[in-house]
This record gives sequence, C-alpha cells and structure tokens, in this order.
Amino acid sequence: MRRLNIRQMKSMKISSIKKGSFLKRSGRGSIVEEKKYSNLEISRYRRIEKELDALLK
Amino acid sequence: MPYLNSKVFYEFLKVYSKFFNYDIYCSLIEGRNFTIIDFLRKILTAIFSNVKKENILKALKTIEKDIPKSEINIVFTFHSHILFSRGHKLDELEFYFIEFFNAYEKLIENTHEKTKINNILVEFNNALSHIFFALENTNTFTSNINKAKSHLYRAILDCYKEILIENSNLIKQNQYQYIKIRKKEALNIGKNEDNKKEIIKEYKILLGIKSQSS
Repeated sequence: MRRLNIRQMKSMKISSIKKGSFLKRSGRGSIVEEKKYSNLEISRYRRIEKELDALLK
Repeated sequence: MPYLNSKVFYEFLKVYSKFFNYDIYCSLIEGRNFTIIDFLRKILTAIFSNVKKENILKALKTIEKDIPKSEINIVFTFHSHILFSRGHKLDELEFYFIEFFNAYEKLIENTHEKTKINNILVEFNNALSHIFFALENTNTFTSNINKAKSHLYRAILDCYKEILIENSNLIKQNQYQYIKIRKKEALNIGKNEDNKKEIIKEYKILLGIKSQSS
C-alpha cells in the first residue's frame, strides 16, 4: 500500500482515504478513524435515526 | 431533577455496556462506529429533557438490538447504592452534561464537518466509559468521575472553539474579551472546577449564547 506523507493526507478528504492507510488520531491520542459503513448499514441507520427522532422529540 | 440517579439512566448504562464491549473489540478492526455513539448522545440528551420515559426505553431497545455481539464480553455489575442516591459526585456531572448537550447542538448548527464532530464524540464516549467504571468499581469512583468531568469539559470547550473558528469575525470584533478568555484558560490548566465553569461561561458570552444550566 502506498504510504502518504502529512501534506498529502491534509489535502485529502477523509472519505477518500483508504482504510489502513493511516489511523487518524485526535490531538489527545484517541484513534478516531470512522468505520466504513456498508450500504445496508447506512439505510438501516437512517431508519433508526428516523425512529429515534420520532420517539425522542 | 435527578437525571443520572434515575432508573432510565441505569437502563442506558446497560445498553452502553453492550456498546462498550463491541467498541473495545471492533474499533481497531473496522473503525469506530460514531453513528451509534451519536445515537447514544441523542438518547442521553432526551434523558435530560422532558421526553417520556417509555419512549426513551423504546429508543434504548432499538439501539440495543442494533449493537453487534462482541468477541469480548466483560460483565459489569453496577453499585446501585451509588447510582440511585444523590449527594455523590455523580450529581456534579449533570452540570457538564447539560452544558455539553447545549454546546453540541450549537456546534451542529455551525458545522457539518464529520471529523470535527467525531472528535467531540470521542470525548463524550470517553466520559461515558469513565462513569461506567466509576459505578463498577467503588475504589476508583472519585478518580473516574473527575476524569469524566474533564472529558466533558474538553468536549464543551472544543465545541465552542470550533464555532469560533467557523466565525472568526467574532474574535476580531471582541478581541479584548477573546484574549482575556484564552489567557484565563491557559493560566487555569489543571486548576479547580470553579474556574472551569467560569471559562465555559465566558466562552458562551463571547459567542452570544444564553446560559441555561446555571
């Protein structure tokens, strides 16, 4: 896998960075790389979000 | 209102327990599931609002069903005498939670940048994990509650700082006030809690946000 330097990473959108190319850390050391959701998960989460919004309004 | 000493918060912790086991196993393998962390934030915000208890319990059930089973299964036993009685340090966290929920809502009004929002959710998740272990092990209760407060404090300030970055004109217009707060913040690193509350208040004044929790 091609390794990216800091300047390249900064100029890229997070969504375009392939998993495993680096683990993004917040300033305090926590690993904050987000899970890549499948299409199925995305539609399920949208449904859950709607459900929660209706229940918790 | 006893938000954190409630049965519904106990139910919340049980669901968080499932998430904690899933997160500790999966976050390094497939990345962190910020969607579920944000759902948990929504539910906890509702616990601090006037939302019907039945609806909160239904929402918790929905989330619980959706959290995948984990290869790690740490079983937690909560010390209910601490959870259900006031006067413990747990009550002191309520101020920080209310401030956090308000700051987060303001942040969302100002940015949709995922990485910024995720950084804040990391702090929220860290705070929850400390509360969780505070109630699990009484020997570490005070230190874990203090750590939870620190994470929420960081999250609150980060929300306001991100809003300031998005609205840099506010800094130009109120430069004297801005310098005063930044200096105060720097000089108060590691100092007591009253200063933290004061700094939160001053950031809100700078941003023109009304205080609700004090």
